[in-house]
Amino acid sequence: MDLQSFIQSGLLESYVLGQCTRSERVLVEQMLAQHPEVRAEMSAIEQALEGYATSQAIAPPQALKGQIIGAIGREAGPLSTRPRSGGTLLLFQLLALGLLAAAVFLFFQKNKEAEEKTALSKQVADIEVRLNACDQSNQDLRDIINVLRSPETRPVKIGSGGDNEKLNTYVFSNKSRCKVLLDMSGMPTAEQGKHLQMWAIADGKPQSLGMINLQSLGGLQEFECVQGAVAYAISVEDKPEGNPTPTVVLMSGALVE
Amino acid sequence: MQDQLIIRLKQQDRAAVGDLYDAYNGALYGVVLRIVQSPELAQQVLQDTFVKAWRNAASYDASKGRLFTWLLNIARNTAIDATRTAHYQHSRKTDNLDNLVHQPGGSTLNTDVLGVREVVNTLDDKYKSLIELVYFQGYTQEEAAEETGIPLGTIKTRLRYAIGELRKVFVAVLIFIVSSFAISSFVIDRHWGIGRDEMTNDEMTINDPISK
Repeated sequence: MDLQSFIQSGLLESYVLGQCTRSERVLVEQMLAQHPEVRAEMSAIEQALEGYATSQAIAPPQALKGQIIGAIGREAGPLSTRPRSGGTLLLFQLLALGLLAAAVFLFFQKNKEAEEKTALSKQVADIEVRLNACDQSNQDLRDIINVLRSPETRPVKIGSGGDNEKLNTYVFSNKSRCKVLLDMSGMPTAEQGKHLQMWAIADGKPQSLGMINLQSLGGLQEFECVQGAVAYAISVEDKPEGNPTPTVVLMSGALVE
Repeated sequence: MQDQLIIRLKQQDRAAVGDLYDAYNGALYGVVLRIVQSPELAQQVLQDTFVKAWRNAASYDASKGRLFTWLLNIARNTAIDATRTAHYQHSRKTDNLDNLVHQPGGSTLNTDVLGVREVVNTLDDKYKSLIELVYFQGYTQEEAAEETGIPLGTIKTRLRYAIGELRKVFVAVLIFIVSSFAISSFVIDRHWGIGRDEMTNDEMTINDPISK
């Protein structure tokens, strides 16, 4: 369409009056963009109509200006954080609530985790203590086994149950390592209030090796050896710390080289 | 001047709204009142128009038309919506206008200094009423044809002619305004020297480097 026909067509008037169809609008806007004559023509149409509207102007009441400026004042500014619609406001509120809930949850979670951590640390510490005790026990048992295996160790039978074969009590003596092991498996249980004491016979005299602990580890109790011991004995005592000389000798046995 | 106003509006400068109101309130109110017929409703519509203009300032495209056209479209559409939602029953007869014009709620603006109204009124009735229907009331040309019983083709031609006549009026007015402004500025400057204080002759010679 050439420029003149376009201008004469009345499309520009329709555009200014807001009455174009969509496709007409597109065409007019194209022509506006491409031809300054079209822009000038439209501007003239607009100004004519604007002048006419102004000539027919009616003044509103004086108070309206302030009212309108007030209404604008209540509108959101360029950097306002007011959400644009009720739906968005609700979204923001839900989001804020969600974040708050998350923060609270995380806080309690962290507390709980700290508590759990402390509990676990304590458990670990406890386990370590037990482990150390186990290691020590293992070492002690290995020592006992070593003594028992040693070719220098001599078993000394110091008692028998007579009729009851189960009550054979042995002492294992190792002179070079100076160890005396009493085997608990053959020991009688002490009566209530009575205590068993261990003796070594040397130079014709009994020497106390200590009180017997029936709960000894591995079922064997170690005593310090006495040089020149030729025999061993067990006595029954009244006092838990024992006596300097045996009261009642329960059993005894001589070392056979 | 209009460019500045547009820039300020797009920058959401609230002070710009006052200037916008001052420039266009009468023209817009005249259109709106003629559509809704009720002053209270017209004032509400005018307020809504300015608020919408404020909110949608970013969408105004100066390459697609003048600011007033944009505002008028907003005002007209808001007014037409108001008559629909209010189930407003009224006859669209333009002879009611005189009553409205002289009501306490509205008064004629003194834009008539240049006798524009008289000149416009010399325009033939059939052209005036057509512009009234189509430009102000927002009737499409088809609706106007229906309303008036005039064939659509005739409507189109008449509309174009009417606007052409208006253009003649307002070009003349524009020339008059511009030349009056130019002449008066010239006269004032010659006589009173805008921006300079009055000086005595002695002072003028002392300060004047050329006289040395």
